[in-house]
Amino acid sequence: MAIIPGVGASSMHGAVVPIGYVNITNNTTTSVTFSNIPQIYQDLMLVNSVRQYASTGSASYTQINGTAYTHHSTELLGNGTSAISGPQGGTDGYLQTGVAAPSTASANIYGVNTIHFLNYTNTTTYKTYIGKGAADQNGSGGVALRCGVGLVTSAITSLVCVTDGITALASGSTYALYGVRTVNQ
Amino acid sequence: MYPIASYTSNSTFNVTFSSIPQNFTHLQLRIFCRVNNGSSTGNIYFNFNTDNGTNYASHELYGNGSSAYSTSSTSTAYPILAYQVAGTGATNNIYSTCIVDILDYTNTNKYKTIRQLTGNDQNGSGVVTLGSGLWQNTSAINGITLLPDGSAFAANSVVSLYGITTA
Repeated sequence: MAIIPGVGASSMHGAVVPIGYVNITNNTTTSVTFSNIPQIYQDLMLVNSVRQYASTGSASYTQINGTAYTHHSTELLGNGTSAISGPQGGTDGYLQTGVAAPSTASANIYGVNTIHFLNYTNTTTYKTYIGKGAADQNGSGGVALRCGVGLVTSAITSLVCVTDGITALASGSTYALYGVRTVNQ
Repeated sequence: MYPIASYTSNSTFNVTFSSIPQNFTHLQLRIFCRVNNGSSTGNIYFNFNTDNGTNYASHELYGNGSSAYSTSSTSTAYPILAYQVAGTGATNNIYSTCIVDILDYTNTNKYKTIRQLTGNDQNGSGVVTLGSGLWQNTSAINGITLLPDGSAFAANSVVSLYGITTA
C-alpha cells in the first residue's frame, strides 16, 4: 500500500502540514504504517475513517515505532443510551486510539477519528495522545473521547494503525497524518 | 491554522499571551503539560484581557475509567481551562494533553465561549474531559492568561497558541 507523500513544510503557509495519506482499496490490508515521520513539527495529528472487513470489533489502535511497551488509555463513551467510562491497557504497544465500524455494520458506514500526539519528538517524556471518535450506525454506535499514554520516551518516528485482532481493513478506509508546526518551524 | 506564539522551558514557567493579533477568526491553544503543584493532578484556569472579575462559567463532562460525570461552575473568577491534568506528583515523564478552541474571539457582539478537550492518562488511572468556558464580556480577546495549580507549569511543558482563518 503506497503512502502518498505530503508537501514539505517550507512550501506551506499554514501550521497543519500533510505528511502522508493512505486509501485502502482492497479487503486484505491489515495495517497502515507511516514510517520515517519527519521530526520537524511540534505535534502530529492522525485522522482516519475506518471499517473492519473481517472483525465484528469496534476499536482501532495505533502502535508507536512498531515496538511493544506498556500502555493505558481512558475512554468516555456515549452509546445512545448512557455515558460510560472505561480503561484499556496492555503491554503490546497498541494504544486504543479510536473507533471503527465493524464488519457487520451496514454498507458504507465507517468510524471516524482525530488523534493528537503532542510534543512527539521529545525524548524524555512518555508519549501521550488525545482523540475524539464517532461511529454512528443509524440506530447503534457511539461517540467517544479517549486519552492514553505509552511508556515510551523515544521520539515517534513511525505509527502503525490496526483494528481488532489486526484483521483486514475494509476498502474505503482512509488514514491521513499531519504535522502541526509551531513558531519558528 | 497559523502559529502565533509558544512557551516552553526546561524549568517552571508561566504563560500570558498578550497583544494577540486580531486578524484571525478563531484561536486554538495546544497544551502539553504538567502543573507544578506536587500532586498527581491539578487544574489549569484562565482569564481573558486580565479580567479577574466573576464573569466566567464552565462545564465539564468527564470519564475517569470507571464512570462518567459532569460538573460546572458559575459566576467565577477562576474558570477551568483544563480539568485534572497531570501534576508534578505524578509518575515522572507523565504529561497531559489539552486542546482548546476559542471561537469568534474578535467578535464584539457576543460573549466568548471556549471548548476544551483534555486527556490525562497515568498508566492505571486517567481522566478524559470535554469542557466549555464562558466569558460574559463582548470585548475582543487580546490577552489570555493561564493559571495552573501550583502557580506554574512544570519543566518541559509546551503551550502554543494558533490563529485559525476562514475563507
